[in-house]
Amino acid sequence: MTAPHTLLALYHTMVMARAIERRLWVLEHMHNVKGYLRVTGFEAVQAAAAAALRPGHDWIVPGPTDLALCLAVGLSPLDVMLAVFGRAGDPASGGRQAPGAFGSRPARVVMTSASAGRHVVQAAGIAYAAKVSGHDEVTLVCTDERGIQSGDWHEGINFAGAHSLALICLVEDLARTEGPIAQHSYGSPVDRAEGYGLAGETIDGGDFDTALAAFGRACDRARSQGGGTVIHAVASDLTSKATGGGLRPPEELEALAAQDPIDRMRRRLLQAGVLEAADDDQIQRDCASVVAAAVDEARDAPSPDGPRALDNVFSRGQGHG
Amino acid sequence: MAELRMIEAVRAAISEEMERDERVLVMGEDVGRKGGVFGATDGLYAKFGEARVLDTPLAESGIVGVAIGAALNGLIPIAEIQFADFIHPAFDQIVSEAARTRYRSNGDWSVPIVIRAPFGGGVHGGLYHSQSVEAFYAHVPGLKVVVPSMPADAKGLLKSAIRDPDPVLFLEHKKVYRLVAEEVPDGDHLVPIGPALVRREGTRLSCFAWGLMTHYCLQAAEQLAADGVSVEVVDLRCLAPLDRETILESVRKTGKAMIVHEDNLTGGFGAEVAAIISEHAFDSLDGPVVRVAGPDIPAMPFNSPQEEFFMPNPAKIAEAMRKLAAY
Repeated sequence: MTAPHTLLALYHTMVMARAIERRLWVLEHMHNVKGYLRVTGFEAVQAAAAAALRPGHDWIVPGPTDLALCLAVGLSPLDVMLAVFGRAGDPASGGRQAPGAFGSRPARVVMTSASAGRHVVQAAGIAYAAKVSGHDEVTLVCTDERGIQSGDWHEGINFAGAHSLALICLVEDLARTEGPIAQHSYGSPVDRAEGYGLAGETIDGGDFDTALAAFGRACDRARSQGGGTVIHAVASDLTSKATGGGLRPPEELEALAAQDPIDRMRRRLLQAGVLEAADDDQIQRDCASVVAAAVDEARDAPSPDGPRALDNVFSRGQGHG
Repeated sequence: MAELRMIEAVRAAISEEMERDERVLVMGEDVGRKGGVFGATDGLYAKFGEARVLDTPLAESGIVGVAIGAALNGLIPIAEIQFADFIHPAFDQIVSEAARTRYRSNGDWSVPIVIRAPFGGGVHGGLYHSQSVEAFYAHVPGLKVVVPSMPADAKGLLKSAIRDPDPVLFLEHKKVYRLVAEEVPDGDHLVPIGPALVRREGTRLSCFAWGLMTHYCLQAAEQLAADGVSVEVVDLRCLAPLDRETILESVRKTGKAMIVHEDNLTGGFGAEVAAIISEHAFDSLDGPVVRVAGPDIPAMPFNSPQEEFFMPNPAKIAEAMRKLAAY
């Protein structure tokens, strides 16, 4: 049973993630930033993952859509904005990585590259180290429907299965109207996971309670040396862009809005009496305000010095050459 | 102090480091029960157990990727790629991931792994058991590339590589594994990663090499000595970081420079050494910078005549040395 204050905090994080994405969408279209973060549709499953894990103890190897997850385990909106603007104060990379490469050593969020699958096999290595070191750590690695097509996904999941590792792979699958991706002979991530000796389940990624229960089972399995799990979270594409170009008709967007994970979480909290309508208004305003302040602070923050590009090639001083 | 061959020196280094630090582990294809195809990890499985001497699937990207992850979580993995020819699937993990992790995290994360790979030809390995891959990786900032030519160096450099906080590609020439034996210091024998070593002092020309080619250059230099031509042979040992000072100091002394490698000529690491010499010791040169290398064909053929045609050898090197000395 998740405590009411925890549920409220997670809801707050979901709203914050959406507020960040919306603000960045505007800034990107005003050509103030290059690229923006995409999280819409996955806020609930990411919040549920954070609730099931022990931040700072368990490992998180995120993908570029995992904004809500990273916020929930300790990254701040300002951290995100400093990275988006490529500022020296970006705690993850000093402005080197493009937006979406989340990282925090204290929170054990491992910074990854731009690949959809390379980090999966690394996550298996993290989990293997935890096992041989006798540490009670769970490793969560996140990817999407593209990542599971990479060879590294298969190599990582196979390794996790062979060694019964405490690895959870979250596959964030944005359900599209065109159906299964044509590039592979279709088998769900769950089928593939079971083939490699992991448990697997497909869930409604827009429903917090469903996701929390799935992560609870996966964490229990991992912590009891029962092996890994692939959680295939399917969420609706809530954007206005239609498949094949153009915009979706208003009635379709209205229907999709009912599947918005934040709205679903709001309704759930209101029904349970955890959240009052007035409090919700305040949360929405607070998040917008925090994001605006973070944008202002990050925009005014100093950029890194050009020659400092030579730093941190090797452990001591500058690179060779 | 025992007399060891390179394969035994490599094994000693790994074993001693695993005894010294329980975070060190080895992983790769057949490194466990079999002890490696060349025997580099022979006996370690029985000594340290399955968890620290880990047989992996035949999946090189997975081997290096798992090693990277294990390093991020506090271990010090030694990943063996069974033959350097098969390292290519792991290129992405080595170059895009291991070599860039410190940089992209601005120093927050590091990947202290060693990737060992037997390389090189002259053993009838054919196209896919003979390759030299050093040029691909010496090009990559964030990655150290070490190529020992002698047993004592192999032990000392490998121990240094294991203790290094950054990723190291450690290339071991297959033909050198059992080519020579020499006295190798017991215990904590460390050779720093970086400095080159003048194996033979000379005055008329400088010859730069690594791995098996160091031996061939020394043999060629011996032939030249009989003709009264004094050749200096510099064993680079490490291609990244590269000891530019020793290279330039030698060229400034002799006035002539030759680089020998069995990788094919174009874009080989010899081109980088030649460029450094041309850029920084031009005024000292008394002849063209010469490269002796494999031909620009896709890989080393299996049959004897074409393998011999491909490989630089002491006779070919000596001929090039005579020509340069007479320039």
